[in-house]
Amino acid sequence: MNRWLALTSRIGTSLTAIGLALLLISLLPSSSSGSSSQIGTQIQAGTYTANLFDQIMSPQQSATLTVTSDTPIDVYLVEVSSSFLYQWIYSHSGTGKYFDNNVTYLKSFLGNFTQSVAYSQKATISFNYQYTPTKITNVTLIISNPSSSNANVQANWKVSQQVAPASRVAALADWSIPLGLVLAIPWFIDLYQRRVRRPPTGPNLSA
Amino acid sequence: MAKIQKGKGRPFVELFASALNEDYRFPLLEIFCFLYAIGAFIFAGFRFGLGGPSASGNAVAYGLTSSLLGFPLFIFVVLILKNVAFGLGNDLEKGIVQTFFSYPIKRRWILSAKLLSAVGVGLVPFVGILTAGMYVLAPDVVGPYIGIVLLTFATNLSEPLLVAGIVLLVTLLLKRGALALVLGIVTYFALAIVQGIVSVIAAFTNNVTGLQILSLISPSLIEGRYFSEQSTGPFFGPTTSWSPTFTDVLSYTAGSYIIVAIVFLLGYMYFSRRLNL
Repeated sequence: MNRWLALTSRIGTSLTAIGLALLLISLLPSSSSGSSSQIGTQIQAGTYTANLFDQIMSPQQSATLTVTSDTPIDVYLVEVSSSFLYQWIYSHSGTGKYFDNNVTYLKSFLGNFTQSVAYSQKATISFNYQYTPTKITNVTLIISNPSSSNANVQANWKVSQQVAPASRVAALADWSIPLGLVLAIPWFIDLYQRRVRRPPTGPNLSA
Repeated sequence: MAKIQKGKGRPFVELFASALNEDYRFPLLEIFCFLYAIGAFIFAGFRFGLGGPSASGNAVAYGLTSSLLGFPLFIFVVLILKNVAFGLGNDLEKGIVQTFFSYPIKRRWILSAKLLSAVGVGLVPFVGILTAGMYVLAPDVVGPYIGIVLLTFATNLSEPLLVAGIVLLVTLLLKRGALALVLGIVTYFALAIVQGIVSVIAAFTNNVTGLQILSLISPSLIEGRYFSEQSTGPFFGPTTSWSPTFTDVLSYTAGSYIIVAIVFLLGYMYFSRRLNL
């Protein structure tokens, strides 16, 4: 077999091996022993809350967040702590109230920290999102009620441990295995041809 | 046996290809790639991030990289020692090296082709797969701090490379690989035990001389100490007389690679001038 074809084939078989390892990793179930909670609360018109979910998370953790409401609400997942949020609003609002939860101040905060917003959904009555951070970070769920009527909100969250983000790893495996197999085709052909060419052996041949 | 063709550099390529074929027979490379890929996720941990996002990005990147340099590093050591001891040892025992000496190529290039295959090619999947795996796991930890990730690889690899250099010397002196391989594995574990003993002595006696000397062979010690002190304060008990700076880490790493280079240079000199078959 041509040397370059042999090299390409070995890269292909190695890529397939890596893909199989990634596939195996993606199939490992996440641990269900993580923390979880279910909270029902009422958010008054024109206010927000950031106390429902506030955790330090690593890339080996995944949070499943579900929020339902009887009134359209805005839901934000931000990569800062709730204390940082309240501290910033306290120092910039000038009201002298630490837990000032007016949506105007929240919008001001979000406008200044757009890069910290990991995910958001506006005017929704049903929010469902699975979040996996890409670094060690604080994560806070903010539920804002910009409407003129109170919102009855039900929030569920569950944090599970995982070896690696399954979706990202599975996507890589989906690409690397077929690509590796395609690159290894010359090697498979060479292997087949060598087997065909090999003379049959056995005790009765000399007879 | 590789067929030598005319042309500048051609014998080197032929020897390199021949060494590659011997060192990485199917499915050896594939098995190692599989193990590295598994190890990149299974052994990853964020120990310096436990203090929260306030831990410096450098420390988190160091912690993540060093966390997965346990088992994957060991299998890398097995691979390169096998390649150096058995690859070169078998060629010496079977007289294949004598045939290589008849090629129109200098002896040092023969050894370079063997070592490039045994160690250089082995390094590519090791560093490549582990770094890519870490990037998939935590892109915002690895991406901005790739320098620290590579430095951690460098500090952790200098000791295995030193052992590989010693194994090369022993293989050349004994002209057989099996004993050199055993000696290499024993040396690797002995160094790990000595590191433990010296660390304990440093912790209880406040005498860090041994730790400083050993850091020249294994700079991962000084790097670990530097980042631990950055994150959580001194961890060697009452030992406060040695708080390494980042420049110290770089200096010790450079020093360790100078030692590695000297050992390999001795191997080259012996192979080029003294090796009689």
